[in-house]
Amino acid sequence: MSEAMTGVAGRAAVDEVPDYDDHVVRLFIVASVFWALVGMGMGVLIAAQMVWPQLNVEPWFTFGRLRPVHTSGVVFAFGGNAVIGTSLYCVQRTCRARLPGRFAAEFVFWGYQLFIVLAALGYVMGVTQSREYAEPEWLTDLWLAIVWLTYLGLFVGTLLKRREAHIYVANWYYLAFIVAVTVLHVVNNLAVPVAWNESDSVSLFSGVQDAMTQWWYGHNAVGFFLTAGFLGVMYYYLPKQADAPIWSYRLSIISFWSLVFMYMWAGPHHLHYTSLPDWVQTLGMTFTIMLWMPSWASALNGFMTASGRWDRLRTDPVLRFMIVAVVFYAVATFEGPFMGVRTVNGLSHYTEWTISHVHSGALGWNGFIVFGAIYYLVPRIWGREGMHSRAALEWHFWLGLTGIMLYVTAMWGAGVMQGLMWRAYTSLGFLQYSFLDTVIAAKPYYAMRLMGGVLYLSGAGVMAWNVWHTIQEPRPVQAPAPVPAE
Amino acid sequence: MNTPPDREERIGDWVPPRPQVAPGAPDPERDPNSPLRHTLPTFDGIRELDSSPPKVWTYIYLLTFFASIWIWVAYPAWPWFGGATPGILGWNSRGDLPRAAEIAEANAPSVARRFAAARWEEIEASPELRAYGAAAGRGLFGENCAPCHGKDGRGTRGFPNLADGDWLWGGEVDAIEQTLRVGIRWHGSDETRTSQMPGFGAQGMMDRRQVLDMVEWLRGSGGLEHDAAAAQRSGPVFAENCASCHGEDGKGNQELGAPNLTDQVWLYGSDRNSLFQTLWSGRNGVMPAFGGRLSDDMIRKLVLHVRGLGE
Repeated sequence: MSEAMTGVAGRAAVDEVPDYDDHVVRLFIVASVFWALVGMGMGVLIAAQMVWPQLNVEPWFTFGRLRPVHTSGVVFAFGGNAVIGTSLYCVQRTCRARLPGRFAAEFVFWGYQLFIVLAALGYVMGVTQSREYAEPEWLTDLWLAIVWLTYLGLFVGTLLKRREAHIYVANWYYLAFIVAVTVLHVVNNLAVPVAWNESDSVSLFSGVQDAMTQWWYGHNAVGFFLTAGFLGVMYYYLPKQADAPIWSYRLSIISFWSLVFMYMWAGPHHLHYTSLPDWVQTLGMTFTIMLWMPSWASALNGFMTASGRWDRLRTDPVLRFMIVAVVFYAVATFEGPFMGVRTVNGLSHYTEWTISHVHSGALGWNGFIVFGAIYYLVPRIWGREGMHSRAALEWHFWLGLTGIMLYVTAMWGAGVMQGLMWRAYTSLGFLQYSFLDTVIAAKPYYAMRLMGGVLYLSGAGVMAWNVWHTIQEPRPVQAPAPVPAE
Repeated sequence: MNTPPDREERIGDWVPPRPQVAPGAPDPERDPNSPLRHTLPTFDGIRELDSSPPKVWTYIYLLTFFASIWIWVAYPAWPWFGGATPGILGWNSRGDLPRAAEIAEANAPSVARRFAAARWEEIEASPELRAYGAAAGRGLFGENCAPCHGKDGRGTRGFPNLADGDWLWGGEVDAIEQTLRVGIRWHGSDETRTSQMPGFGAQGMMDRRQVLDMVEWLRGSGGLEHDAAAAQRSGPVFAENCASCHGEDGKGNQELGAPNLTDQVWLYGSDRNSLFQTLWSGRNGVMPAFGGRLSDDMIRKLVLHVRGLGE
C-alpha cells in the first residue's frame, strides 16, 4: 500500500507488472500431480484390500497403516500442494506484488515435502498418534508448524506489499485456510512426548474432551482445508477460465463470514449419540444446519459467474472440470448438514454413507477444481500455448466423472443398506442381521467402489501424462507480447 | 448519480479515472446486476459484480436460523450455570435410555419371560419355547460364533462344522451348554474342556514310517483311496497309541473330545499332507469360554440355535 502513489509517476508504478515468482508455483504443481498418483493409488490399494483381504501384508502394508497414507496423501499432499501452489500464483497477481524473500517460498516447498515423506513413512512403520487426519507424531507436527508459519508469512507478506486497494476474495479464503489450519494444527496436536528421543507422545486431552478436540479439528480440516482453501482456488481460477466477472461481491462477503464463523462450531455432529453432553451435540447440529445456505452461496456465486458461458462447457473441458466441481460442492454441502442432523446421523453414522459423502466432496469438488486449476496453470507457468493433448483432457474428465459416479453411488447404496440392516428387527424383537451379514452384503459394493477408484486414478494418470508432455514441449518461438505501458 | 459514491474514494489510495461516456449511453462502470453501484476494482482482470442474493436463498437462510433457535429453546443447547439450558421439552439422552428400556420391557413378548424362567426340561417340552430360543440364538450366533464357525455354522478348516450332526464334545443340550460356558483349551477358564492330541512324530512316539502308515490307515477308515498294506501294518500301532482316546474301533469318545475317525468328517483335511501334519505335530484348537461373557439365558438360546443348525 505504501508504494501506491497518486499522480502520473504513481500511475506508472501501479501499471508495471512485477516479476512474479512462478518457479515455486511450478514446483508445487509438479508435486501435486505426483502425490495425486501416490495418494489415489493408495486409495485404490486399500479399496482392493476391502475386496480381497489377502492383500493385507503384515505389518507394513495392512489396511490400518495404509489408510492414513491414502487420506493424508490426497488431502495434504495432493490437495495441500495444489492449494499452496495456486494460492502463491493467485496472491501475486491479484496483489500485483512478488512474493517476499528469496528463499522462504522454496523453504515452504521443500519443508512441506519433507513433512509429507516423514508422515507417510511414520504411518507404514506404525508411528502414529491415532488422531484422524492428524496421525503424525509430535516431531513431524513441530516441523509442519514451522513450515506452515513460514507459508503464512509468505502470504501475508505479499498481501502487505500489494499494489491493489482491495484484497481479492480468493485471498480471503486462502488466508482463512492458512490461519485456521495453524490454530487447528497447534491445538489438536498439543501433546507431551514420552521422552525427547522417542517418537511417542501423550495427548494433553483425555476422554470426551479428547474426542471433541479431535473432531473439532477433523471437521474444520474439512471446513478450512478442503473448503476454504479450495474456494480460494474456485474464486480465482473459475472467473479466469470462464472469462467472466464474479457474480456477487455481496454474496462473497455473506458466505465468507458465515462460513468462517459457523464452521468452528459444527464439529460435535461427528459425535452424535456418544458420551458427548447433549447440549454440545445440539449446538453442533444447529450450526451444521445454518451452514447449508452459506455453503450454497459460494456454489451459487460459482454457477452465476459461469452463467452466460454455458456454451463453453461443450468445448472447454477445463471449465467443465470447474463447473462439475461446483456441482459436487453443492451436492456435498447439502448432504453434509442433512447427515449432521442427529436422527439422520443415527442411520448414516459408522456406515459407508459417510465414505460416499466424503468422496463426493473429495473426488468431485476438491479433485475436479484442482484438476481445472492445474490445466489452467500448466501452460501459463511453463509458457506453453496450451495443454499437450486436448483429447487427454476429455479422457481425464470422463474417466474421472464415471469414477466418481460409480464410487459415490456404490458407497451410498452400501451405507444406507448397512444402516437399515443394523436396525432391522424380527417379529420377536431380535436384531435380524449380525454385523457379519452386513459385511457380506456390502462386498459387491466394495468391488464397485474399487472400479470407480481405478477409473478416477486412471484419469489422474492421463493428467500426469498430459502435464509431463506439456512441460516437455518446446516453448513457442515468438517472444511474449510486451507489456503495454498504458 | 454520476458522481462516484464516496465509498469508492475511501477504499484505495488510487482509483483509476472514469472513462468519458457519451451523453445518453449506458455507463459502462455501472454494475448491470446492481445498477445503483459502480463496479468494484478489477483484480488481475477479474471484475466483480454486486448482485443481490436470490430471495429464496435469503429466506431459506433465515429459516435455518429460526429452526436453530427453536431447537435451542426445545433441547439442551447452551452452557449455563450448573450445566446447560435444559430445553422446554425436557428431553435428554440419559433420560431417554431408561424410558427406551421400559418400553422394550413392556413390549417384550411374554414368551421371553417364560423362557427365562423355564428349566431345560420345560423348554424341551415346549415347541414355542424352543423356537423362541433358537430365533434369539440366531442373532447371538452371528455376533459371537460366526467369525470362526461361519454365518451358517458350517465351519472351515480348523473350525468345526456345527451343522453336520457330528459332535466332538457331545450334541446334547447339557454338553453344548457346557462347551459354550467353559470353552475348549481356553486359558481364561479353570473348568475349560481339556484333552490333547499329541504330536506323535514330534514327541518321538512314532517314527516317520509309522506315521506314514497311520495316514493310510486313517484314509482307509474314512473310506478314502489308500495303501491297504500300509494300513494293515498300522493295526498294532493304532491299538497302542490311538485307541485309548479314539476307541478300539476309531469311533472316538465325546467325553474326551476325541473325534470319530470313521465318519468322513475331517476337521483339518483328509489329504495326506494334512493328515501327516496332524499326526506328526498334533492339533489342539481353542475355543473361548463364553460363560461370564454372555448371560446363562443367552447361552441357552445359543444352545438351541446351534443344536438346530444340523436339522
